Amino acid sequence: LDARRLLIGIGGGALIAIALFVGVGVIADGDTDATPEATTSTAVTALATPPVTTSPPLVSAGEVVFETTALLVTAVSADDGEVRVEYELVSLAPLSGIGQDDEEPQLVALPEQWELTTTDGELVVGNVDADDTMVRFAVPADATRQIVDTVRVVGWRIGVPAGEQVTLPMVSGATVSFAGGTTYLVDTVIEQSTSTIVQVDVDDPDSRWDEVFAAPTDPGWRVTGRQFGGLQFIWEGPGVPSEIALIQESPSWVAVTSELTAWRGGSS
Amino acid sequence: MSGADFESLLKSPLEAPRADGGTRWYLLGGGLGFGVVLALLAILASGSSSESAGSRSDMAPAVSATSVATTVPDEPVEFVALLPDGYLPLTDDVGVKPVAAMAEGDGLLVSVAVAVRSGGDPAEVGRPLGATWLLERKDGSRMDASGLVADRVRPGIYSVQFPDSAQPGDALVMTERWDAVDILQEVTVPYTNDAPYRFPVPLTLQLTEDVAMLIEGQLGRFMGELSWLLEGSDGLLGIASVDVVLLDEAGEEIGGYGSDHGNLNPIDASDALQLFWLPDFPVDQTGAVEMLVRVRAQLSSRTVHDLRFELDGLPGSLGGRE
Repeated sequence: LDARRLLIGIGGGALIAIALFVGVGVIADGDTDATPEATTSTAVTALATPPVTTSPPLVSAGEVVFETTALLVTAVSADDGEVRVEYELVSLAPLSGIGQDDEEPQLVALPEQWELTTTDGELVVGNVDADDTMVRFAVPADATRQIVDTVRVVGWRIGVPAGEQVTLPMVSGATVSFAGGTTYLVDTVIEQSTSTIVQVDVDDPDSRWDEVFAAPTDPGWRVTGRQFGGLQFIWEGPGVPSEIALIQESPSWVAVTSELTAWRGGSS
Repeated sequence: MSGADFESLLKSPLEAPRADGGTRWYLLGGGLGFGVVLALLAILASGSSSESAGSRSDMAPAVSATSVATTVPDEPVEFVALLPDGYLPLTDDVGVKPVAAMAEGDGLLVSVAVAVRSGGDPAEVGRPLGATWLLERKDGSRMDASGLVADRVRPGIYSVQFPDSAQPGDALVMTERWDAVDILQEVTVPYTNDAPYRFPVPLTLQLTEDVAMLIEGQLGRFMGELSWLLEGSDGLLGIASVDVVLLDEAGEEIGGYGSDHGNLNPIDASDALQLFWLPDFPVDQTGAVEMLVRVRAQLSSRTVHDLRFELDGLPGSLGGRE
């Protein structure tokens, strides 16, 4: 009988505590109604973003992962006819080891194409900022954040080490192009008493994904920047080669088309 | 009224058990209090665990709390589930996956990504140097890779080169993984300020008990060239950077040359580097009598490891560059 009383007491106490906690929560929710924007968005987000993954997150809850990059949406806002989605990109690549300490490691995969679906079902294509931390979507001028149903990454790029090689004849007017479209044009060859200078114009394609940075394969060529753009190759001493073999140092950015939901708001 | 009776009247009903077994309200009250405390502790505990799990990012708290509650399983997760989709385990810390395949001339280039598992810290996890990859045809025949190229500034990926193109149904097979063994070694030799100064031959650094690096090179006023070759162990591959420091008679540093290899590192048994004089003008090599050569290298340590990936459907796949 004593044990029953004790158990009844414990159970009752727990019920009272839960009732108190729920009551405080209701009161707190009521308080935040004073700021409708914050209250509505928080409540909706909490209910509308149940992740479907059954694995623990690689970096943080709510992430989407493509190749070795995890993307985390950090803020969604709407103002002046624009929905802005801010995000953070985190590399999952292992970094420890000799040879990596003097360079800031760069991401292997970057998001390229984004889409937003409004609660009315309208599809809006996003524009990514150059620094890869924000994507913007054009929406009606009076739209609030509640217009957003889902934000999706629908395409990304993988920077693969390709090392394409081309050969540039050391003759004024000679050109060579990489597969991505970047073209190297020999502008001037200057023979000096102890060295030879080759001035080269570099013509990049419009897309940043197709730009190629190349370097000579022969370490005898020293490379400097050229005034008003382009490159200058310098060979010290005799034995100047008749051509410059160039190797692509920048990655080839392979396009991937797929779909990952990065953020979900409004009605799910 | 006796003294005993009087004392019994002064006692609280809760002070002593009643012989008739009447209701003991103190038990019920104590239970209530204990229950409240237990329930509040449980609520607080669940709240704090959600906060700590979500605190690794600047996500809105509501998102973190909701997600953690639904994504962290109670039972242990298989290792493969701790990796991004499609990755297979390489070590206890990382997984690998081919992420792109491109035609390269008459050959094939397959790029392999490496990712740290959930719970691992990328800054603390060592990078694998590479692996022995083969291209397996549908008929079971296999083709050896002709080379491996790493991107120095993108440590999460390397490319495997094959001399021939791939066909539908081909697979990428790993037979060995190459763990990276970090080496830091240096040697000091006499220096004469000639132009150019040629390295003494042979200049040998003993990297390990079994492996030596043979170095040849020369230094000019502003730049130099250097090549290295690994010797002593069959099939040994690596990447290396070499710095050169000039010392005066007192052993003080005058200046030095840094090596520049560019972004792409072939993982090989030999390589060539370009050297650049680092100090600003007008400091030069005058007064140097010794040269300190410092090598930082990663050597391959091979371990049998079986993995197999289908190539069909990879991005950039087999039809050429995007």
